[in-house]
Amino acid sequence: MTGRKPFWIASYPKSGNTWVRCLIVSLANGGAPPELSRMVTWCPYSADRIWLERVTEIPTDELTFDEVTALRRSAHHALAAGDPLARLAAPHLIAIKVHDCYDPFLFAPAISAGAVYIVRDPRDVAPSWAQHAGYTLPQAIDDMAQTGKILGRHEGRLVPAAVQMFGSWSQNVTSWLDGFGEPLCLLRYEDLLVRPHAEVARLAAFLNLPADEKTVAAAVENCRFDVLRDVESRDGFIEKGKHQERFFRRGRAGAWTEDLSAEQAEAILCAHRLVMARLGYLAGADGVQADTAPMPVVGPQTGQA
Amino acid sequence: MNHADYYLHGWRVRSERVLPELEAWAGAPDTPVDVAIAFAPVAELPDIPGGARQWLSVDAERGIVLSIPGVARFHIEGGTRITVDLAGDPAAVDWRTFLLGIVFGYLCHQRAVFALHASAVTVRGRTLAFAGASGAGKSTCAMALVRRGHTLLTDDLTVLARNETGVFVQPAFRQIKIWRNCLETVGIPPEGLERVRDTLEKFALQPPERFVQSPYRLDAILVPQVGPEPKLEAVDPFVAVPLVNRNIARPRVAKLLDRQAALLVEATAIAAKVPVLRFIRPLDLARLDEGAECIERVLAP
Repeated sequence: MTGRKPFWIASYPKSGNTWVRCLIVSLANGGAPPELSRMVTWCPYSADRIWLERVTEIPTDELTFDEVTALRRSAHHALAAGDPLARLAAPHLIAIKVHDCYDPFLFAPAISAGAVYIVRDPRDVAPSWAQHAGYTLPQAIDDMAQTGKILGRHEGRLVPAAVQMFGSWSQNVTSWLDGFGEPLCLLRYEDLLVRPHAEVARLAAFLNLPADEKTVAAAVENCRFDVLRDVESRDGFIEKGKHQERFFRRGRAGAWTEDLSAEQAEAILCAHRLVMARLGYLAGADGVQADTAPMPVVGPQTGQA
Repeated sequence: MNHADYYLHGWRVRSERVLPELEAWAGAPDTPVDVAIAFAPVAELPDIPGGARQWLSVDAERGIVLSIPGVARFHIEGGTRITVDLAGDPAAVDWRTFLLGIVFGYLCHQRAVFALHASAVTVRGRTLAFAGASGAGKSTCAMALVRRGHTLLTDDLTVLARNETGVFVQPAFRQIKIWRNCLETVGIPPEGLERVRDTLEKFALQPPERFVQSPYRLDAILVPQVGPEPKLEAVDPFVAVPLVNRNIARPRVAKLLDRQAALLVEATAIAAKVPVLRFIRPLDLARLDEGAECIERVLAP
């Protein structure tokens, strides 16, 4: 069996990763509405213990945190190499969702076809992350500013996801943009909202998926937030946080102007100003509206704003 | 070489090292040994291209090799021989957790037996298996019943045997593996219990009630599912077969050994003989007893 190297779909949490995975699943199926319950078939989550057990046939609930990380590395390599056991569990794999910072131990370019990095204005990420994780807004803002932030290292109980190094928001972004190398496709959440057809066509071409006008238009239509919300209401969605009423909330850009106090917005600016500027989030009046000018593809050497 | 004979999943298991978790073999002394466990070097698995370590290799001729870095390598051959190459402290519990768990799960497919990813308990003469993926609550459900005086037959791996009169569970050993938070919620102090790994907050609970070393007729397969109130829901026969099939232990190992079709036939036969029910239970561990009461009331009145 030959290996087909997967793409990484990387982002800080609540930055549109699942939306992009819905688009990928739709594009891979001729623009059809994505089945949320079968997302794992095409775009699984690298840290999902159940998926990891499926592709390795090794239960992770009796492994230490370090062993689970080593097993993730082994699974990624096995998938890229077309290992029969791993591929049995993932015959249609296209891409793997990742929230970790870039780590060559886990996500080396040699074992993937490339990386899509999705970025969203951290001021919009914060309220969404707070809601997902059951944090207060100040807790979420503090979390996003912590360099080396690790999630899932709970000692006394089973956590459904493996330990992940999210890092701070800035660290997560720069680790991928500056660390991964090529080929890398940078997607801005805000651009996906403003000009979905052009951005989805670019994504499709990058992933070697059908990028014709008809398929792209159908995928965009079937992955509108209101459509995904309806699908979630009807079928549910396993990735919904236990503190959340629904996974797909508003899908808006710039809602932070209503959600955050001036002090909270300022705290995010203070923590992430350099990276926000690099990604065009400080254009115009400081922090009032995300810049919607097209972003160049940012490579490891060309990424400095 | 010294050895001791034990009872596990109905088999006579001979080991060169002591396996304190297992019951001594109490069957006829002239019963042939089913599985022999030896301790000797096992060749390292080759790295995966790119340089990552390979953890599991499955081959119909050469056997199955499981490599847990820093703990042990296990070579499983013909469903009858397990060679253990210890990498860590022989006195530590870690290697036994893997040996008595997943290694025997793989071995089932070499022996062509049907094993569910399930825990089984006998409740007032009725034997129930809780089947589900890791984290679904199999051990938690079993613990809730065992706490009420019922008898554990096996945790995590349930080997089944079928004949014209019914389907039977082969008991394994008296141990349920439970996380600290769960033990504390139900008021069992983890201190004093053995850990299942030296560095994990997961403990081996030994229920007091002993099973007898013989098959127990299986009366129902329960699939735990989270819901607001405890209840049991019968599953439509058309859904029961895929549900049983989906909960076969280590199904992809079975597929690589070309056992998939035979197991589907067996799953169909088992689902025809044994009722399959969804066991809806609240996620709140403080309400475990309500679920156990519901099971007693409905299935073992």
